[in-house]
Amino acid sequence: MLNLESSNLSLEKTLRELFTTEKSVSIDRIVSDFDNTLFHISTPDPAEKTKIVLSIFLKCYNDLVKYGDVDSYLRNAYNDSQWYTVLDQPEDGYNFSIFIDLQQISTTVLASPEEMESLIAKLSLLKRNALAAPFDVAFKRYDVLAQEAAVKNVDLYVPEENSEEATSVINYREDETIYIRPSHDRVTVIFTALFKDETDKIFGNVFLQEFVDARKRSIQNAPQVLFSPYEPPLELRGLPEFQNFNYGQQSATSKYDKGFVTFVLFPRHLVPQKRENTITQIQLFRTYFHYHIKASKAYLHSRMRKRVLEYLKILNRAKPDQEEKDIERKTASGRRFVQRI
Amino acid sequence: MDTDWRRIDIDALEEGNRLTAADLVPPAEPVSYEDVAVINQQVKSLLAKGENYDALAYSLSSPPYGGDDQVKALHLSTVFDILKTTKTSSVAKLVGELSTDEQDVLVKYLYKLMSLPQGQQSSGVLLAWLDKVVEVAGNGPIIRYLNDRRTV
Amino acid sequence: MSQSLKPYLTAVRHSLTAAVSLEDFASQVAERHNDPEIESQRTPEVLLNPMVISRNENEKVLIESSINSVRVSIKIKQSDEIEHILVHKFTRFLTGRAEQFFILRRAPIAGYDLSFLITNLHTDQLMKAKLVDFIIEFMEDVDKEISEMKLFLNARARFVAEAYLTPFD
Repeated sequence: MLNLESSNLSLEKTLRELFTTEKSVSIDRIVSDFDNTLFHISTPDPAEKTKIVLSIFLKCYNDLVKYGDVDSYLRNAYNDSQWYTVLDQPEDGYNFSIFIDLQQISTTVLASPEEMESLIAKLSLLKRNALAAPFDVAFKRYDVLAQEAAVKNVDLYVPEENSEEATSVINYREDETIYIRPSHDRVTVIFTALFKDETDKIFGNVFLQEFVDARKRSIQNAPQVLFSPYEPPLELRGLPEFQNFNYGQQSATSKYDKGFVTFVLFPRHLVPQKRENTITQIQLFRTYFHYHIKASKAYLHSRMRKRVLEYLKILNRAKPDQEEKDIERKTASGRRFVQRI
Repeated sequence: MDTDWRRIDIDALEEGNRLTAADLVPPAEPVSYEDVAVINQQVKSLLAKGENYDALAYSLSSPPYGGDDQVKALHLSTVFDILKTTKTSSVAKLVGELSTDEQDVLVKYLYKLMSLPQGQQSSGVLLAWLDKVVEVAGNGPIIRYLNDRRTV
Repeated sequence: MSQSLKPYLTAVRHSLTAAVSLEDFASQVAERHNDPEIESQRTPEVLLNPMVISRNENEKVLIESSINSVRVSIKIKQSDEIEHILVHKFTRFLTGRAEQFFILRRAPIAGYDLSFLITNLHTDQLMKAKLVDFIIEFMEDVDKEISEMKLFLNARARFVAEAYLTPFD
C-alpha cells in the first residue's frame, strides 16, 4: 500500500453499515484519525434511531478558523446536498457537526449504489476538507497576488525580501506545524519534522534526501522540496518563535531535533483543476512520510530475523551426525542395557 | 571473631607460588637503543641498494626481545619499512628463502603491526605477506607465535 | 575492495584454525570449577598471545585464546550513520538469540561489534573445521547483508518519493 487514503476508512465502513442495515440501530462511535482528529458518529436521540449526527474534532481547529475560516469553508462545501445538513451549533466537545436523517435518504439514495458511495465518500472526507480550508485561503491569496504581479509586471521567481505577506501557522500536531505562505508566483508550504527516536531521525534523513533529489532525477514537474535539518528556512525567520534562534550554531545532540521540509508549489500545481488534488496530497505528507519510515523498519526487521535463522542453520551443520540418543547394547552374558552418551 | 573470614582472599595474602605474567617471559639479554639504531641504518642502506632479502634476513635474525618499548618500536618500524618497500612479486620468493626461525619472527611482526593503527593503514601489504608465509610454512609459525612469550 | 577480502579471510581462517585447539582444563583457582580461562583470566600461564588481523582501521578481528577457550571479536565495517544503525540493530538481534547460537557472547568486547566465545565443550560437540567455516562465512555474509539493506533502503526511499510527488503533476 504505497499511497495513503485521505478519507477515513473506519468512518466509511460505519456509514455503509448504517445505510444498508434493514433495522435502524442506535450507534455511538468515536473514531480517531491522524493528526489528533476525532470523529463522533451517533444517534443522539434514543427514540429516533434514524437521526444521525456526525461530528469532527480537530485539535488545531482554532488555527484553522484563524487562518482558513474553516467554518464558512466547510459550510460551503457541505451545503450542496439535500441528504445532510450542517448543524448551526456543533456537538458539545466537537468543532463541526453534520446531521443525517436516514429516513429521508433511504429510498432514493440507497436504491442507487453510486449515489450512496458518493455520499459516503463526501462525508468521510470531512477531515480532509477541514484541513483544506487554510490552503484554499492561501491559494486564493496567491491568485490575487499573481493578478497584481501580472499588472505590475514583477519578475517571476525572484525571492522577495521582507515581504509583509502573512504566513499561516497551523499546529496540527503537538510539536509539529505547517506554515503556508503565498506569494505572487508560488505558494510555499513548510512542515516541521520532529523525530522522537534516534533511528527514525537517520531513516527520515535518507528519505528526505530522496525527496529533495527526486525532482532532479526523474520528475521534473514535481514541486521543489528543500530540507533544512536545523535552521528554519528564510521564509520563517520573521516569525516570533524564531526570533531568538541561534543561527549558524548547531548543537551536536539536537542535529535532527526539529527539521524543516519546504515544498514550493509552482503555478502549474495551482491551476484550478489541479488545486484540489494538490491540497489532498500536501495534507498527507507527514503521515505518509512516517508511515513509510516505519514500514521500512519493519521490513528490515523481518529480513534480519530471516538472516539470523539462516545462520543458525549453518551453525547446526557443524554438529556431527548424532546417532540415536540412547543406544541399546548387550553384554556378553546377555543382559541388555542402555548406553547413555 | 568479627572478621568476615570467609571472604578473605588467601591467595593475595599468601606469599609465593603465584605466577604473574611478567614471570612467564623467559629472560632475554638487554638490547640498547643504539644497537637497534645501528641495525636500522644498515637496513636502510641495504634497502637503498635494493637488497631486500638481506635487509629482511638481517632484521629478523636478532629481534630485540630484551629491549624496552622504545627499542622495540624502532625495530618494528625498521621491519615495517622493509615489508612496505618489497615488491609483491618477490614476496613469495623471499619468504621461501627465510629460515624457520626467521619466518616465526616475521609472523610475530606481522601480527604486532596489524594491531597498531599505522599498520592497519597498509594492512593489504601485511595480509599478503601473511598469506605467503602460511603457504610456505603452514600453520606452524602462527602456533608458535601464540605461545611464545617473548614478544616483539 | 574484494581484492583485499580474500587474503583477509584466509588470514583469519589460518589464525583461527591455529587458535582453536582446546582441551579441558579445570580451574586452578576454585576447586571443582571449570571456567573458560580467557574470560576469568586468573591464571596467566594458560593465556596465549592475542592476535589481531585487520583489513583496515574499521574492519578487524581480535582472536584471544587460552588453553580451554577462544574469544573471537569482530568489528564490522560501518562507514556512515545509516550503516552504523543497521549494524547496531543486527548485532542486537543476534546477541538477543545468543543462547541458540551456543558460541555467541552476549556482550561484545570494547571496541568491537560482536564477540564469539568458543570453549572446549563446543569443540567436543561441534566439528572444528565447520566451526571455523561458520565464522568465516558469517564475516563475509554480514558485510553483504549490511550493504544490501542499505541499498534496499535507498531504493525504497526513491520509490516512495516518486510515488508521492508524481500525483502533483
